[in-house]
Amino acid sequence: MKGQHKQSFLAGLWKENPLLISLLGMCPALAVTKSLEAAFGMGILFSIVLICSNVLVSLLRKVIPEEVRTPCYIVIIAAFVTLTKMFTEAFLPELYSTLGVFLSLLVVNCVILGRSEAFASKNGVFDSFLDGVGNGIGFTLAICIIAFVREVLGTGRLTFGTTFTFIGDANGGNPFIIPILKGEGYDASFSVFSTPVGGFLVLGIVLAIMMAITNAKANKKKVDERLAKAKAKAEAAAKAAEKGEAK
Amino acid sequence: MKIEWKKSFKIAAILCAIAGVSAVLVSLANVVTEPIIATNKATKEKNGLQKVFGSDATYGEKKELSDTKYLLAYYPVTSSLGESRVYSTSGNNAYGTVSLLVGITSGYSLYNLVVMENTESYATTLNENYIVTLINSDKKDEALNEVKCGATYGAKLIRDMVNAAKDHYKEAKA
Repeated sequence: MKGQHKQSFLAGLWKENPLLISLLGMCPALAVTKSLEAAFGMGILFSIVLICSNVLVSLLRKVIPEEVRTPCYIVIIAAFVTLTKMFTEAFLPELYSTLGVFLSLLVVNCVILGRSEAFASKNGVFDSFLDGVGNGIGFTLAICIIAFVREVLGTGRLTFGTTFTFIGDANGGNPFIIPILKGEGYDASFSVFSTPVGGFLVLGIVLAIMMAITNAKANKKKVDERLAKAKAKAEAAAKAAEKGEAK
Repeated sequence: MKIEWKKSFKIAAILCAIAGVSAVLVSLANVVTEPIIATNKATKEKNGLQKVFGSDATYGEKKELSDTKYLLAYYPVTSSLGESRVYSTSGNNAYGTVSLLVGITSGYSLYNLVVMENTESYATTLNENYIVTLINSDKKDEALNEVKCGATYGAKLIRDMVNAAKDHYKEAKA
C-alpha cells in the first residue's frame, strides 16, 4: 500500500478517530451503546453509509457545482441511509427496531457529512474509499469499547443473540449470556451505566484514557529526543576531550 | 442584478439528476424489500397473537378497520373464555409510536396485551413502570387507569388505545 493510501486508511483509526479525537457523531455513540450488539450493528451500518457516500461524492466531485455541494452531499447520504434502512428492516428486523430513529439520523451525522466535505470532495476514489473504511472501523471500535464498558458495568453481563437473532438461533432460540459482574448469588452491576448519564460518564473515562495514552506517547517522544541530544552532546564532548589529550 | 440563467439551469439540472437517480435506487430497493418486510411483519403479528390468549385459542381471520383513531384491525378469538377479540392498535404522540395487540374478553375487560412496537423516548420507563405492572395485575382494568408512571404520556396513549378497543367491541355487540 502506498504511503498516501496508508495514511488515508490509518488516520481515521486512531490519530483522527471521528469519535474519540474529533468528538463527532456523539449522538449515536451515546444512544446505541447500551448493548455491544446494537453498537456493533450501528458501527457496521454507519461504515456502509460512510464508504458508499465517500466513493460517490469522490466520483462526482468534478460534476457537483460548488454552490450546491452540501445539498448534493445530503441527497447522496440520505439515499444511502434509506437503502440501508430498507435492507436492515428486511433482513435484520431486530437490529432495525433496536436502532430505531438513530438509523434515520445518520442522514445528518456530522462524521459522514464531514468526511464527504473535507476528504472525498478533494481526493480520488480509492483514497476516499480507504478513508471511509478507516473512519468506519475507527468509529465502530470506539462505540464498541463504550458499549462493552456500559453493558458490563450496567447489566453485569454480556448478552449476544437479542439483536442478531441468528446468534440466538444457534443456541436454540435463547441468547448467549456471559455473566461477569452479575450471576447466581452475586450482583456488582451499577444500573446507572445503562442510563444516558452512564453513557456520558463512560465516554468521559474513555476520552481521558485516550488522552493519557496520547500524552504519554508525546512525552516519551520528547524524553527520547532530549536523551538523544544529551547523548550526542556527551559523545561530542568525549571526542573533543580525546582530541585535546592527543594534542 | 444579472441572473446567470445558464449556470442556474446547470446547477438545477445536476441537483435534479442526483435526486432522480437516488429516487430510482430507493424505488428499486423498495420493490425488493417490501414483500420481505410485509412477511416479517405478518410473522411477528402471528407470533404476537399467540401470546395474547395463548396458543390453545383459535384465531379467526383478520378484519381490517378504518375510520378509527387507534384501531387497525381485529381478530375474532375462540378460547376457554368464550368469544373474545384481539385488536391490532397503533398510536403516536410527541414521544414516539406504540403498537399493541390488545385482547378483550366478551365482558369487555382487558385480558392481555402484547407490545409490537414501542419507539417512545421513555420506552424503558413505560415498559417497566406501566406495561409490565399492567400485564401482571389481577385487576387489569383498574391498573389501566394508573397512568402516573414516569412516562405518563405514553401510559395515557396505551390507556386510550385499550379503551378504544373496548368501546369498539361494545358497539359491535350492541
